[in-house]
Amino acid sequence: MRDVYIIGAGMTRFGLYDGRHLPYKTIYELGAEACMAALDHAGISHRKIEAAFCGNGSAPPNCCQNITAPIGISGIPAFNHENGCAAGSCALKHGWETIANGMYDVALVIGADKWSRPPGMSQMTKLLAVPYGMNLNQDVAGAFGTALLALIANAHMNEYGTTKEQLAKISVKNKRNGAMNPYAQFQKEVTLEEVLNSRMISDPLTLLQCCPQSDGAAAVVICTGDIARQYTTKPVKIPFITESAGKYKGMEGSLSQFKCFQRASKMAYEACGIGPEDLDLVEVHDDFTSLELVAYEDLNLCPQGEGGRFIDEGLFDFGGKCVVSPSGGLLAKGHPIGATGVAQLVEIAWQLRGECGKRQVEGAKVGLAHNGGGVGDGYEPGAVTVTIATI
Amino acid sequence: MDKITKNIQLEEDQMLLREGIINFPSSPGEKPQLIAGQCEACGDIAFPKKIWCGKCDGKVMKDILLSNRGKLYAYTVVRQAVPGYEVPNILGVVKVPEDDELLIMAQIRECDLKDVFNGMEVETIITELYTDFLRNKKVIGYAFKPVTVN
Ligand SMILES: [Zn+2]
Repeated sequence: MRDVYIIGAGMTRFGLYDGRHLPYKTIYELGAEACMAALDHAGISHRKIEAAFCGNGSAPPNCCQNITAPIGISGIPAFNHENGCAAGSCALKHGWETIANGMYDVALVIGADKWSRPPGMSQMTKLLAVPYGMNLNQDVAGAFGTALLALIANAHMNEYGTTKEQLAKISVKNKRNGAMNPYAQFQKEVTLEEVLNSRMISDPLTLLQCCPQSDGAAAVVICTGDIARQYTTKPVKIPFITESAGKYKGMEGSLSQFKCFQRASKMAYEACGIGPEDLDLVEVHDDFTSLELVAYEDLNLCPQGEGGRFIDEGLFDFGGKCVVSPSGGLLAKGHPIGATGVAQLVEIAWQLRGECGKRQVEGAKVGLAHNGGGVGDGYEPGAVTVTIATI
Repeated sequence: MDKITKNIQLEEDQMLLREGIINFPSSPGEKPQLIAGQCEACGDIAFPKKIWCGKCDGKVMKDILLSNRGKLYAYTVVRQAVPGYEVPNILGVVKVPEDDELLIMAQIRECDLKDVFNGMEVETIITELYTDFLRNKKVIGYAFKPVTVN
């Protein structure tokens, strides 16, 4: 296997490009904007790209090709990935594997999504296509995603004494980080009271503990070591990416931990010879505060059941043990489904290169991204990836 | 294997949540029960039942009836759902005695929002779960309610 590096990373600001909140843009325009930013950041010509990989959840077929064609990238192998909220990191893993295995030398990885008005298919059509008869729990719950994360919060509170204040503090932290990120959808701090007093969605999760609906795109240029050294003195190495899928009864009768997160992170740590104590920053899949909470424990950033205490003590804040979600995470930066997994690596690449301005994690050398998505078999996510990055 | 009554007389404006997952009572004294699948080779129990086993090479799954009673393992009050569902409603995860790893998601009915708690004894009931507004039918399925001591 060959080493794989990120030499350029770029993204659009996340938000609603519906012509009301932000200027109207299509998913293809957003994707192209992110690609151009990543290619310019790398200082590499678009003509050098040998293959393109795109994660997406809302576009009609061939999203990747339609993003790259207007910026002069066509006639090369192009691959589109759907894997729920983990689509972007699964596209990254596919691209990473092709370079590691010697298939290509330079590739473009894109994540793009538009949920405010997906092109080609109205959101209503899409919503109606999903609810009935496909997934039993979805039919029973009527609000499966949010309710499941609320049930996870309830189980964790019941088993470990975690409090609703501790959960809410995760949102306060991530929104504080997001306020320093010009690419974030929400760039405003919130107080603990505001989080707790916002509208209850599914007890104990209030509105400000749920990620927003978002549009946006992110892209990275990945390549071999030889090529990386031609373009930058600060290549970001991706030593390993693991992917795991939730399995039936994989939770072994407990909703307070995700065994698939544990499997994916253990494999990644072992493959890289890196432990959780080596991490300077982590971008987790905080679509809800409860998912960030269980991620602390499942990624072994803290002992099982102690996520609440670590939050109280500020150990995942700037200046703490390890900064979690310095970008603001999904809660503040936003969550355009297919873009999220790539955007996590954009943030980590910028952090490791020391380019994050006010939210820079001082001296960051090792980062980890955790991206999970969808529903597979049972209650665990259909896909979860753990990506390690070093400089 | 107990007899499994897979048919229920539905009204014109009703439809079943799924075929073959509920044993409807055939006499007033009987209680409704969920139908799970059990692998003939390894004995693993799955709800909803699988076609082939997820734990061993087994390809033969037989129907079994789950206990009518279980314990509420976790719950939430859903205050926002897709159209067709009444909110607020209590959504829970129930454990039954047959298998501690089995987590059954279900609405908890006939329970005041302030009376629900982890570990509460619950029993299976048949009820209208939601309105399928594409077909304009009321969907009949399973839920649980608190066990009341008389
Ligand atoms: Zn079996």
